[in-house]
Amino acid sequence: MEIDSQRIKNYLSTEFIGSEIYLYDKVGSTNDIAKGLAVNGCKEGAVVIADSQSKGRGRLGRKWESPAGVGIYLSIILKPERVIPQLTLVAGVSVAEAINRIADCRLQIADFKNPKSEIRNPKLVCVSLKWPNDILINGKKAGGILTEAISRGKIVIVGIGINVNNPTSSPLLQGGEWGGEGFPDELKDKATSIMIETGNRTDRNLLTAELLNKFEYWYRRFVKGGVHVIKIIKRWKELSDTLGHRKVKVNLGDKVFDGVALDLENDGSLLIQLNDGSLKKISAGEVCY
Amino acid sequence: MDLRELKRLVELFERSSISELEIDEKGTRVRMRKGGEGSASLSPIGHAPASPPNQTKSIPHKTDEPTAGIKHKKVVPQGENYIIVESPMVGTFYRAPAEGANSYVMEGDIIEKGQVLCIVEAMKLMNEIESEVRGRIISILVENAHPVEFGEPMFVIEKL
Repeated sequence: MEIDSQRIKNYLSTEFIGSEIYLYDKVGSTNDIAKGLAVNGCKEGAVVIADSQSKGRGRLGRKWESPAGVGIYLSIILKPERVIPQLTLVAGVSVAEAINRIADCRLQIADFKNPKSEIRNPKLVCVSLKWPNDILINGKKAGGILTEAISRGKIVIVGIGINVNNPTSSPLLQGGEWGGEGFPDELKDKATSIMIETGNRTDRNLLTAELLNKFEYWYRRFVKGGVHVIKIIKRWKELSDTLGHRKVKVNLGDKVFDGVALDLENDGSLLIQLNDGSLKKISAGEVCY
Repeated sequence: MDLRELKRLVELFERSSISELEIDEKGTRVRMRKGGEGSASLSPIGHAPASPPNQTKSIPHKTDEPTAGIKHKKVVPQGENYIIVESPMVGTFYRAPAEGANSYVMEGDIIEKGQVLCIVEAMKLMNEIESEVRGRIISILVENAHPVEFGEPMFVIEKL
């Protein structure tokens, strides 16, 4: 089914996210379109959606394959009072919950404090999050988020890409090599789509609307700050595939750290126990496992 | 807190077994953390840690501060005409939008107000840092793909 802004609006229950929807057949990147609209004064909560992108991007210019007719590629325009990196976690939680609600996917609720518990039940289709914001289905990447702040932090664009109905044979993510050595180009083998994992086609309009509903729910709490942010962190931890006994490699600038991901701090940074036993807080960089 | 006190504090901190120390005194906040190389790094945090991004600040910067532990060792010129661009958040500093792409700016470049200087990334939030003035890039204080602290100086710009 085609993406149709009226059908999306029919399912929306938001107050401002999605109040304006700019729908395109094909764009370079929805984030770039959103930046242009935001700079020219469009409303907060406006959403740019495209059926396909020719220059879909991940972090640092990596390519995000965005073929027509099968994915969700959208950008939400926000005008927060200040830039808070935990916004990334808000988007991740929203995407995971929306996929759970609309597609035949369970939330992978981790008991990360009990490292002996089985992280994933192989018989169930499960959606989870990888720090800081990859969306995994059955442990493979099905979605990503790229958030960009411009105009001295007054405008924040949350770009979300989800592989929805891509068939098995289609090319998915192209792993980039930014970040230096130690991280093989392995993303290609780790990419998937909702259809590949569940065997079912998902209505992209319904999933888009639910994603925006969830995003507004969490974002409104997030901007209140304090205890609300802690609730989001708690929710993220429950949905995390990263915490627990997971061995990770963290690529931070030109350094690589090996250790075990222990916990998520309230500021959204990842707490790693390095191999020498010391603890390290990671707020930037990239995690591999 | 005056410079002497600060120096003493840095020395004490370096000798101690404490790995991180934060002091908030009469509105001045100082945070010290020992880096992986075993040296102490010092970054003045500024007066309002939760304020909106305040990326550029004209120089009331003391260049005669103890420099031993500071990651950037370049000489920072002094004067009303120079602007220091500081990082608005903890993250990773990138000079280009993508690997292999041209750097946003080079030392010596003339830049316009609003021109993007770099990206600071935290948790996949890519924060484009723009110049608040028209000027010339005198110095780039951080290397590409290196971590930056909140308030860490990244560029010195001469106003034109």
